[in-house]
Amino acid sequence: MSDAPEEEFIVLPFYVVCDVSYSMAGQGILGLNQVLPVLRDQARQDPVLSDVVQLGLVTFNSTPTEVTQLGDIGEGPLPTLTASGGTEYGAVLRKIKQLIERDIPRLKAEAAARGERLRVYRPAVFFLSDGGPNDADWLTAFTELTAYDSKTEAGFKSYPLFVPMGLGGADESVLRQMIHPREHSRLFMVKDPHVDAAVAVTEMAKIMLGTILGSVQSAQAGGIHVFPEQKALPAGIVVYEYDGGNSV
Amino acid sequence: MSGPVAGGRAAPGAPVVAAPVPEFVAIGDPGRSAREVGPSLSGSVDAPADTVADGADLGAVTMRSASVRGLTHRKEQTRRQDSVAAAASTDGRWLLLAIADGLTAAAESDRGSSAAASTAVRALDHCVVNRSDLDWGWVVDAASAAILRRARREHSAPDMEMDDARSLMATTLLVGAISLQPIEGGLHGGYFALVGDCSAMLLDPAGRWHPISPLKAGNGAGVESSNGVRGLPRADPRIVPFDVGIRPGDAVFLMSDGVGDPLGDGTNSVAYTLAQWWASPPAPIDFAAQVGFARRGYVDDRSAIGVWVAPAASDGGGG
Repeated sequence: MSDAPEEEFIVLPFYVVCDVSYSMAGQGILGLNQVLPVLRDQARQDPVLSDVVQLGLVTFNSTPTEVTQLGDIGEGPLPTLTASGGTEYGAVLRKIKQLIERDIPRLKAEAAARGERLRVYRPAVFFLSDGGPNDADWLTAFTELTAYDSKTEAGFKSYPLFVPMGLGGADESVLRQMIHPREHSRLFMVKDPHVDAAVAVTEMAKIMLGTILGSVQSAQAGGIHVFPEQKALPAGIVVYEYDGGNSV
Repeated sequence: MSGPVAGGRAAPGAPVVAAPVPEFVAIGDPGRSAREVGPSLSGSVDAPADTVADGADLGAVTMRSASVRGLTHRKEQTRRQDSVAAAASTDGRWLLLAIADGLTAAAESDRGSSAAASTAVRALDHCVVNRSDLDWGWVVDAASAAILRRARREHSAPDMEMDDARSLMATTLLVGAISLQPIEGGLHGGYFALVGDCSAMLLDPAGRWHPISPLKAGNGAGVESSNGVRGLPRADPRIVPFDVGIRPGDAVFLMSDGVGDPLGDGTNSVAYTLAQWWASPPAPIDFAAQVGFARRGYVDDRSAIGVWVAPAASDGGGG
């Protein structure tokens, strides 16, 4: 054997997708601007986590914006987010699919240039929204992003684990439909209407970090993404499974 | 400070000799975690050591064993959950070995894996010396009983059920015996039984890896976890026996999945590197450093037992 075979390294991609529509103005957008850099810093402080996690940031109102490309957890300042515009889900869901289609081969190509081969785990999407969508046919885009039949290979093979997270005026009945895969993912809802939006956003960021941490550890044992349980969540946030039961 | 002391006073002005052992040996990119996470204590004097290294030179057969705490456990200051055990049978004819990997989800699985590995070796000794058959069911049941006894004793719960003991201390187990003399046709016999996801591979003199244990289903990524807790102790374990004839010049390795997973099917660069390092038996300390190799993203506990059978005297040696 003349050359050592390419080395294989584990990668866990996470996309953080945040609603920045007008309803987030005030405390909501303030909370996002405060907590997103903190989330990044805390993730980056964990050397085990930062060795394997790739993080990307997307914001949306009626159109999506890629703020940070999926990559190593970054250090520089994040652009200040502002809240404006209406809320549409179809466009950002289509954007997420495009990003996954672009990013996974890109990560592999960058690794190949370093002489490495990547084992890329299924990407996960945290989808944070504070209001229902104005577009009626968002479900079509969601199905394009998530449906996959392993027997026929019809659909999107790199479908993400989709984790909807709702606060403020979020439409629980809509977000519940976005739990994917149904038997595995979760919905996190802020149920207490009096919770300050900045506090709610901060708690959701903690849930994201806890999920990322737990999933990194689980991946080491050959497992799947894991979520915080209800008892670990602050009062006012409820975690749901698809079948409607509370995850206790 | 002046130079090393060897049974007397150091010569003044002698240079300080740097320790030759690096902090870690890397296979590929070690990642930030290897550079930033070192050994730690787990907050209890009865916690297992961070790293154990053992070895034995037994004529034509050489054994090295190591169990190394993973970076996750070091960082979280939680216990190493792998255990290893090795002994010669009391009649001197067999090398008895066990590796046990405590489940992450079981809070006291370090105790489960320790009880399982040491009891399995003791039970296997009884089988090879006093009985004419290798009754793997009996050996595994002895390990399960030992875990249950330990759980009952440590929790002062004499009526604790096996299911509850498993929730606390669940572990996998790979146990086996290798003959210290050739058995047939110059081959040494290796006989093993597996409960769970440890694995065994054979390394031939040409540096090629051959899986001996059945390959893991699903290769790790996205494996569905069952609702119940896997592992021992259980009344109805699924035991997979397997055996291998070991030629002079071969080496057999038992390993927990912290080593088995990166090694894969034996064709990647981790496999290539280990094949070079383990072409012949290293010193026990070096074997432990190698089993704990640093590689970005691989942070599980690592355990391996290597058994080398010396090449026959008439071999030219070298592949």
